[in-house]
Amino acid sequence: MNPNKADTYIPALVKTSLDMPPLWGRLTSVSPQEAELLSHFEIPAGRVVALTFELGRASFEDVRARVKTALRDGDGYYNYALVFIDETQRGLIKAAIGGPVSAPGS
Amino acid sequence: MFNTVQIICASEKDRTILRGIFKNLGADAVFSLDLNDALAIFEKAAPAAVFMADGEEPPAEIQLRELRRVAPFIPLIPLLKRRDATRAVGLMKAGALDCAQAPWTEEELRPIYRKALNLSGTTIELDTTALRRRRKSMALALAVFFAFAGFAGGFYYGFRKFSPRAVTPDSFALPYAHPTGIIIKGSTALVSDWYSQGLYEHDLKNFGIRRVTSLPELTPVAMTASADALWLAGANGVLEKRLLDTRYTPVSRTAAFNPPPDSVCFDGLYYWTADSRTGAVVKRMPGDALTELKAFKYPGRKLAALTCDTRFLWAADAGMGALVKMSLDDPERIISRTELAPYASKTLKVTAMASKDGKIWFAGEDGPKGLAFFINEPK
Repeated sequence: MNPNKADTYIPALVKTSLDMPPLWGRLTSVSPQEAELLSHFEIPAGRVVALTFELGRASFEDVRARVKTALRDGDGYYNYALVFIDETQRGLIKAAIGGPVSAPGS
Repeated sequence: MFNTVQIICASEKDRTILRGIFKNLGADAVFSLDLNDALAIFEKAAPAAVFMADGEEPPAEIQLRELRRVAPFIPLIPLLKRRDATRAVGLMKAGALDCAQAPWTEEELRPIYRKALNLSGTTIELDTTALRRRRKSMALALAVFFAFAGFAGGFYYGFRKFSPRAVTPDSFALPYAHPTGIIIKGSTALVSDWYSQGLYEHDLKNFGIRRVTSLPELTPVAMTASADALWLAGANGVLEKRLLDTRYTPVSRTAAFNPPPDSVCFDGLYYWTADSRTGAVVKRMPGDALTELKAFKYPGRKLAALTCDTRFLWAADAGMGALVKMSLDDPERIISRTELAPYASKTLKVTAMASKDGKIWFAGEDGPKGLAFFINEPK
């Protein structure tokens, strides 16, 4: 995590299952195919999660992604490599990234 | 690691819980009852991170806003009293680094606390590329400078060591062949020549002629100077006192001395005359008449020329091929003698001498040539 960008990474709400309360974390990188999530909550690898976040002016809700890998850092935070699994949502993310993007919160 | 954290919490119960947790985490926790209290001691406490209990007044959003206004880069962590991801994300958008969920436990807070402390403060990542480039340039410039200095120093050392040393000339050819007297005055050497009956003023550095004064009525055979007068001995044994003006105006004359001297000098108090043929050295009273005080016999072998300074009499001895030093008080005793290298030339005939500033000057003839040279006064 780049300290200078720590609180500018994209806050994200993470649903792991329908019967569990959502978790939260920050997306440290986003591409149309995959993303990286930093959270202090533990999520097993292979689990499919639904992400809700904002990317520029676009809002994404329940973007489905699979936890590809999970690595715990020295502080106890988990770095998750996520793969978006819905082709349509990938396209939307691609469009959001390719279009005019402004900083979150602006 | 700097571990002071500030905790804004009004509830005594929560504070007790949090105090225990942060103590176990190794943090130095500073508690504030509310935002105003926190801001009042914020500067003094200088915390690495601020934790705030959610659900109290003012709302966490306002606390985040005010704290970020004071310290834009400090990690702010709301402590949620229930697990509410929507609120957590909202607070993170409002400036929180992260949010801790209830129940607050050591395990729950540890990663957040450690991450907050690791990210604490304004970490400025400089664009060091330019800096490194500049450093490289500086280092390169320094290296070039030192290399050049070393090279220049070595070159200078080598040049000084191995190049032939510029020899200061100590011998000068004269454009006339019969010098008879020499006087050193400042940067000028004044030489008399009997054949051309002239006084030649030479630049002492290169012996270039500055001025020539003709003496049609006098054949100079010896010459000396006092502070205010020039004394010229004629071939007839008469010494003329002349002013040190541009024309060397005659002032007075002595009677003709017998034998006629061919050397004359002034030791600052008395005048001395010498005749090289007989070896007679005469001490004379200062005055226009140069009355004889006492006569001495030159103690060496063959007197060629005589001069003096305020300490010694100096003689060039053609017999010994040496410079002879004698006492002013006892001219008949040789104090020392020093071999004169120019006497290696068998044709050298020294005819005049002068002592000035630690140097003994000679003028003479070497075959058909006139020459002047000097040596440093022997110890």
